[in-house]
Amino acid sequence: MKVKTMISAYFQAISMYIRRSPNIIGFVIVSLIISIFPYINTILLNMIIERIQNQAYQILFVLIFGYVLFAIIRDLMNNLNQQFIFRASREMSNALQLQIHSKVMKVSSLSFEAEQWYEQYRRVEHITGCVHDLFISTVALLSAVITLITYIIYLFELIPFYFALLGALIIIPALIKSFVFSRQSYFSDRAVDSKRQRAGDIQGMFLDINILKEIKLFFSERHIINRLRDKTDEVQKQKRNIEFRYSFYCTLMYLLVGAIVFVILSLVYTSNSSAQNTTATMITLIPFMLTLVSSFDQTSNHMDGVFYSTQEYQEIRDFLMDKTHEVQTSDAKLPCDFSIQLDHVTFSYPNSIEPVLHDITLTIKPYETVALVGQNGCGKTTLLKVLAGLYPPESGEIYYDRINVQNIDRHEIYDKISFAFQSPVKYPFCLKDNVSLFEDKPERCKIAQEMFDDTLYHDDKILSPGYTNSRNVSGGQWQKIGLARALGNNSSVYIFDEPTSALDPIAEIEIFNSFFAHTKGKCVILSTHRLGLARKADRIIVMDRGRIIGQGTHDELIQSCIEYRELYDSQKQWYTMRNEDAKDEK
Amino acid sequence: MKNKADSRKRTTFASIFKLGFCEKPINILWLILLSLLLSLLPSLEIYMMEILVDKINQLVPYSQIISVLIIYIALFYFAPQLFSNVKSVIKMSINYLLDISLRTKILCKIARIGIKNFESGELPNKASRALNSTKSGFLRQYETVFDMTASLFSLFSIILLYGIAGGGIIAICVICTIIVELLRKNVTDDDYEFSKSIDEKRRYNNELKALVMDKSTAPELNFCVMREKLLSLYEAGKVELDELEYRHMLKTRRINIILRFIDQIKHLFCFIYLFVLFVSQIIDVSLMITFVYAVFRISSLTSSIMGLYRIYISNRNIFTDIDDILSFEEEAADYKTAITSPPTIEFRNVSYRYPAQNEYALSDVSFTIKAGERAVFCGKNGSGKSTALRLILGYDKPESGAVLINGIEAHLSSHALRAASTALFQDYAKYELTLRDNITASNFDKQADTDEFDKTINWADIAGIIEKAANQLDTDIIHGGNFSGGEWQKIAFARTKFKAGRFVALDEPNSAVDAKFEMEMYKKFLEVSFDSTSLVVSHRLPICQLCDRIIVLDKGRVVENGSHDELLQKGSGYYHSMYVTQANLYY
Repeated sequence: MKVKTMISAYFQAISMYIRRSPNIIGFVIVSLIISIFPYINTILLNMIIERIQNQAYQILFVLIFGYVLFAIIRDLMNNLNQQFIFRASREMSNALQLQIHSKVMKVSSLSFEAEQWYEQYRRVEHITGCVHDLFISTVALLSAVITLITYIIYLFELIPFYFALLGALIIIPALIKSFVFSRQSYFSDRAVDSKRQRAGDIQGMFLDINILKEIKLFFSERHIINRLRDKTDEVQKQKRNIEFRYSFYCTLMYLLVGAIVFVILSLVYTSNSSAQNTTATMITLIPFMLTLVSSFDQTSNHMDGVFYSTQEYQEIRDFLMDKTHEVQTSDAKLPCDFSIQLDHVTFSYPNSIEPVLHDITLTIKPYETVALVGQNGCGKTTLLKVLAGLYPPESGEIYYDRINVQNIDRHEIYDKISFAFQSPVKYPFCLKDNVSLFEDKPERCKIAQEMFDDTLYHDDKILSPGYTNSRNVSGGQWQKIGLARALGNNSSVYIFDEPTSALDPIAEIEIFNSFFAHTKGKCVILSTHRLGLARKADRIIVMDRGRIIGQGTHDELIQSCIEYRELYDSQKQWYTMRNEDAKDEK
Repeated sequence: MKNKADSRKRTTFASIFKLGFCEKPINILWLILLSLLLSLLPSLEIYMMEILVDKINQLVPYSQIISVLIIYIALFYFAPQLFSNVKSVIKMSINYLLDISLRTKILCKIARIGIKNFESGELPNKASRALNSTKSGFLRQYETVFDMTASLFSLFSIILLYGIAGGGIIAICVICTIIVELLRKNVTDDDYEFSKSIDEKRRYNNELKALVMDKSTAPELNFCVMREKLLSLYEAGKVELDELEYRHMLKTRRINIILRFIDQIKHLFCFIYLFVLFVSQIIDVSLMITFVYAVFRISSLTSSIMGLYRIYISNRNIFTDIDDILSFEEEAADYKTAITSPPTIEFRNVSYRYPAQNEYALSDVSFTIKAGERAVFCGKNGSGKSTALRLILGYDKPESGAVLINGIEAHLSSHALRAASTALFQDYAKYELTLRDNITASNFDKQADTDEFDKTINWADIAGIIEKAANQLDTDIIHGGNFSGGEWQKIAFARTKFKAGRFVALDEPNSAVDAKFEMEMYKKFLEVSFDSTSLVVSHRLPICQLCDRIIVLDKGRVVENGSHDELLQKGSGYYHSMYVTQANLYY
């Protein structure tokens, strides 16, 4: 990463933080004051010991009080800092998240299928604490430097200045250790991050009720736990290697530091300069030196913190400024009835080479009922999503009444089109809210009340497992919820993706009738495996491997399209035997 | 598979000690030894300091002071760090071992607890808390007890060496620390209660966020403009949680300020005490100076003892969760009656309700499925079809009446039946493991049997899916991977086939597949159900016609029971009307 970009990212992050929480300046000032305290403490302790030796008792008392008072003030300041930090860090993280959220709302849903973008998105959500970390690391670094300066000033008064600078060498071992190891541990942490995540995923399986049911059925818990152990063993091995090396170098470092402390103390003792009280000086010097060492122990962590947090912030900046998947919309309004035209549309998912839709040209008129049929994987669901403007095509255009669908605002589309998805989203709300989605659509609620019995409809338990007021609903009931969401709008176009796959035959017919009642005179596009239902459509479109291989009414297709006839017969044959009964009932 | 009954065992220090000692005795002994050595250091350090101060005061020649200086630095700085370092290396391996062994215990236990306990209520929270706390909790108890003992030993040795001076200071520190700890006790309990109380809220908020970030929900969220609403709900929840945490922090901060204040006053009292001793000439100058310096060391020793004790007690809070899980009631495991031939399944006046629900899922249901029969449960959604399967497999027991497998109640012999069964559930699992594991999950023991494995792959027609996968069979499947719904259905079907079962259950196996594959699956089902009792939950007509017995359920009651021909000949009834309705679509 270029240095200039890093620096600009750094300063932008810092200024953003300060602008957002200006009383964080208080934190900076307090921290810098606290960094002088070791020096003040040392001087006070020095004076106390001198007074003991000179038996100057009154002043001694004052000094002791002063010392304790300073300690209390330091504690209060630390406490105050904690409060500053608490609020500010969360506010900053929330602010960044808001920016990310608003960005995500501007992109098309196809970006979720683009592996790179999706990974970036997940990563960026993870690192919203980077600006705060950046700030804290910067302040910590400044504090450590100030403490170092006060230490050198103190030494200047005791020993010749070149020895004083030698005293500054005490920070070298700490710096070496932290430079070498924080970098290593950072990289190794990153490397094991994904392994740790997988271990967490495997463990999480036990807390997923559906998976737990199967584990209990197949008695597979031991095997799965072994997989978990394998993953955690890998993580552990890496950590252990680093830990061993770290301990070894730490021991060396302690030896070095001990040697330097010894040298400095010897120098102080042997330089009988001025009337300095040697006892006091030497005794108070030791804790001062060690405070310094421990504050520099963390220095490299802080420097790395600055470096990596800046990089992370840059990642967030890049994500927010990337315009590739954004959709630009205009204020175009759709009329009440409009036709949908696909013009040589080819579409493939972002990470696959093969197109899912090949050169589709299709027009759907305002009051038509169209059924899409075909085998699994032929592209029905994708075609519906492309139709609805969810996925921009690779080439070709989609028009609603001559307006390109990419230019129409999502809210407008949602107003005019209802889409019932194959697996409706299971929101962690109660049934009523899952249907109404917090919109004012009384028609939806009426439909839902017809579909579900009263106790179920009015139950306010949330439809998500694992909470104190959870309850369960079956797959078929979820599908009904999805249908209720779609049917209860006064839309122009209704799109249904496998609307009755999980419903039993009677419910299927009931829904279908209610279906037709609510979509009378509107355009309906539905995809289905149930060819008996497709038969009722005005037009049936048969798809195979991303192409349209036949269009027309049922009778036309039986004559002209072999694929369709095969599909239809394979379902119909189960009812041939009872043909006579069926005719009688009619 | 052994039938182990877990007695109620509290996680006391003794039990933790036994666990660690049995696993790694040498390491534990090293830990004890190092803690002991560390405990001797403070008193030795004060002693050396006294000698040093004496010599410095007398301004002895530098040569005489070198050795004292070196020993002092070694004792004060080098030795403690070295010992702590070695301790942390030892701790790491013990920690890992204890963590993984405890985690294994908890996960095994979860697999043996009845599943209804996880569908609602406190247990999911407890389980996730318990699993999150295995890493640090266990080893901390060791550390705290050893370090506490070592610190007590240090204090004791200081008193031995320094009598009045040392003893007095220690007494003052101890009294102040006890006062502080009594005041602090509530804070620790508060913290734990607080985090428990916001646990569920936090999980809910995280679920909202996970929903927004999920790939599979993206199209619908975008289309229905729900992303905005979910995110604003999430943001509101976050703000609320932050506010709660902030207020809690303020509350504890106020108390903490007072406690820190008392802490510092303790130093003041110590200094005054020393001063009094010095003035009454009980101690000399060098000892006074030494102790002015040593006050901080001694005071941190006493604080650390109380701190360790606090950690010990708060970890016991954590262990409550672990204990509760480990002593939870398990499902009965009866192996006397292993099932080797297709079982008979009988429902006798069974009524059942899901936990925390008022409506009955099954009311007074009675029927018999003979050995080797192929039966299908048919009926509207919510009529109780999947519920009956749930009871047969022993996941729960009926409120009244009995579910009998070969004459024995299902929930008492569930392990025997499950060992001899295979099933395909509606919400089949997508394991976070490799593709191979996902296929063989029904029978891990036979994973090495390549013949059986190849046969299953051909049978389920998934060779193409395996080829397409990035790493073929070793592809790691993360959150369902890149397979389509239909592909997953085939993999799940392969999984079901991989284990041979005397009881085969298929729960709505053909919802998301196309007509052609539907046909294949019906034929395949015939093969799978050879020489076993099978049960299908479905509403698709073709499969009903393949079965020997159709049991129609409506609102939890059996309304019809017979073969396809029998039920049609009735000329009326649910099955008949369903058949006619479907048939009319094609004619």
